[in-house]
Amino acid sequence: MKRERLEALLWERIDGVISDADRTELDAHLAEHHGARELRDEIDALAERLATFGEIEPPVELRSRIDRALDAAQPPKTVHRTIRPVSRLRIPWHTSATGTRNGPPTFRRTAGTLSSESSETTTNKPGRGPAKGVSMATNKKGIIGAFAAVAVIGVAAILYFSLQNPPTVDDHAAGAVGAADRYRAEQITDEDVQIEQVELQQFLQSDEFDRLVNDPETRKLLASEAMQQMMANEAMRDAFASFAVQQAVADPRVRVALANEGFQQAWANAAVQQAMSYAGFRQAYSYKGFQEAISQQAFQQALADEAFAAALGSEAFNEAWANAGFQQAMSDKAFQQAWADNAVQAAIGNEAFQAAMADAAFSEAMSNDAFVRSLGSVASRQALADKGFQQAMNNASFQAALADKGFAEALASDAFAAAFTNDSFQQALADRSFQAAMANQAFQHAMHDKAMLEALGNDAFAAAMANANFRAALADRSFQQALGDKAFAAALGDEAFAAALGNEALQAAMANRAFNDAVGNPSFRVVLANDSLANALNNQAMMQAWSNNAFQYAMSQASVRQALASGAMMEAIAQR
Amino acid sequence: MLVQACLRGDRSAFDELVEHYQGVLFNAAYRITGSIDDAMDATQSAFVAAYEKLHTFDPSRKFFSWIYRITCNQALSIVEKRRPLSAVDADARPTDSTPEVQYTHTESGEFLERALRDLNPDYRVVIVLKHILGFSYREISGLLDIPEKTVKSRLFSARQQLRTTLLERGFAP
Repeated sequence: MKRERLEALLWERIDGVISDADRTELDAHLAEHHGARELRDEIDALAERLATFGEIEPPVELRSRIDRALDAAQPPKTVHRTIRPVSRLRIPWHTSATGTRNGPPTFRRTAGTLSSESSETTTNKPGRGPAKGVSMATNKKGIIGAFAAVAVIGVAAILYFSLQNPPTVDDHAAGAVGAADRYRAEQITDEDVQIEQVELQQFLQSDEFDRLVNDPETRKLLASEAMQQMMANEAMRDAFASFAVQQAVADPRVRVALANEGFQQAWANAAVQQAMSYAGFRQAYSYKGFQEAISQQAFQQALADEAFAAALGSEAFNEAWANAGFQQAMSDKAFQQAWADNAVQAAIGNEAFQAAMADAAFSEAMSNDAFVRSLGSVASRQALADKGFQQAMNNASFQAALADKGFAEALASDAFAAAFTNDSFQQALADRSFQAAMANQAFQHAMHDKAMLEALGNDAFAAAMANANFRAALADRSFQQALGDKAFAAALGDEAFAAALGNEALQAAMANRAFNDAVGNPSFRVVLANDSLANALNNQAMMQAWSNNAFQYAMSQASVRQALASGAMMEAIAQR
Repeated sequence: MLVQACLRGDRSAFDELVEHYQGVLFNAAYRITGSIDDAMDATQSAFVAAYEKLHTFDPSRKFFSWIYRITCNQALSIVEKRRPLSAVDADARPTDSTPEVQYTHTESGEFLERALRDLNPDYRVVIVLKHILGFSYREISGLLDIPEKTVKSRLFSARQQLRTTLLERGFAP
């Protein structure tokens, strides 16, 4: 019986799911093999220890703490949101002295009330600017659009666009809302639009609203052509109606960003508009990291990139925004700088990369400082654009490796970054054996070691990565254990040894069980770390010996390996 | 159903979710942070985050899988922010005196807790659900929304890694 099957059956026995036939086979095997019984005892002991952990009763105060926190929390967006007709909202306001449409008006909210003293119709006279207390009672489309505008920057926007500056109005009809047909349709009813006033009322009565309407950036934003075009787009209006975006707009940095030319140009892009229709992207506006990110020039530059804009419209990105790791990463300077990098933009536009982004392990990697720091390296960013790396990102093993702190630290190292630029290494990244190796803890542990990292940066080692046998060896358990060993890692960092790794005979040997067993042995690894042996490995005869079955068999014997470790033998090897 | 009710504005529906999952999530958080206080913080934060972002939850997925992952992330984030892992192990001992908690004070318990925390989250979750919370393969499959076969293979790998880690650190189970 193979060890893996034995182990599986032993656990099935503990879990109580072993079949009768397997039970019989297991019992027979245990009766015959001492090693199997040892393994059984080990597994039983582990199961017993795990069982003693038991479940801990949560402290009684936990529930009350959660309840208090939930009371203070922002309630989730309701699915069937009921919104009171905007027509009922009457906002007293004052125009600037001229009240004309030339330049944004100065809005001021009358304290404490949302009631208007005006009628339901809009009958401003041309040239006089909007009347006091103009109602929002217009056609349904206009109202919905108007409500969306309210969500962006409050009633200021709605008044400005609906009454002050409707794009369709002739220049001579300044300030005359009546001239725009779209605002004259039938009165909507409660059945037409289900509207709830609470959020809006709170918003309109908040200091935040006051700040918004008096903020120069808001005015700049309102006056921009891009904003007008944006408001003509239903998806954008709808997006800006979301509470997350409203909250985001309260942040001055976001308003500056929104008024930025690069950002506004991006709005014209169908992919960005598509992105705005996603709940995830809208929600992203409320995240501090996103707010910081969009205020960065790098992000705004990235938006101008087609691939990046297309990526924003992808489902994967939609999921990624909600991801805690991704949010955290967005606040990071290195990550923000990475946005502007062509290689990152190309990577983000790649489906494999996007699929990886939607994965939880990737999100964990994103929350890892070291991984994010690795994006600060030009070489790492170049690697992102590499197909091999992108394929690797889409691989569960690689993602699992990314979540490992040591591996992420390794990624941030110069040596690893250098390895990324190596074709052979990139090729290896796309290889399943190598990916499997990366998912292994021993391999990840090995990445903590400086010598191992140096080995990665070594051309000979990278070249060895291109060899299937070497990659297969990397995926081998013994070999992986060896990788975690300081002596072996030191050997890998040795140029002579790395050069030897590039030798086909040695690579062939690596595919051999005996070799890997030998490597898995601590005393043999001490031998490997010895300069004499490393040099000897470069000898052709020695190489060929490795591929010899008898030699490999000899190496699998503990006594031979111990003999090799002796000083006399080392001396002999050194003299060859 | 409860999620849908909550999204329709029924807060009591979410209270039911809290009642149902607080124990298991607290335990998961405790196994990650190794501290009662931190586990309470992580559980509380997870429920608040889930509540506030409930509209982003994909109803075709399991609610537990979603909130479990949020809890794990919150717990890991607390551990990360607190101090290096090595220091955590020394200081994060629970102050309670239940027999279970007392056990973790023993050397073997600490070894095992540390090894458990070193597992990747996918592996850690199956170990916690199976061995600590006592769920069956089928229940774990339902909770995590993954095939039973995947539960078995993850458990196998997780146990193997756990054992190897303990052996490598010189602690025979």
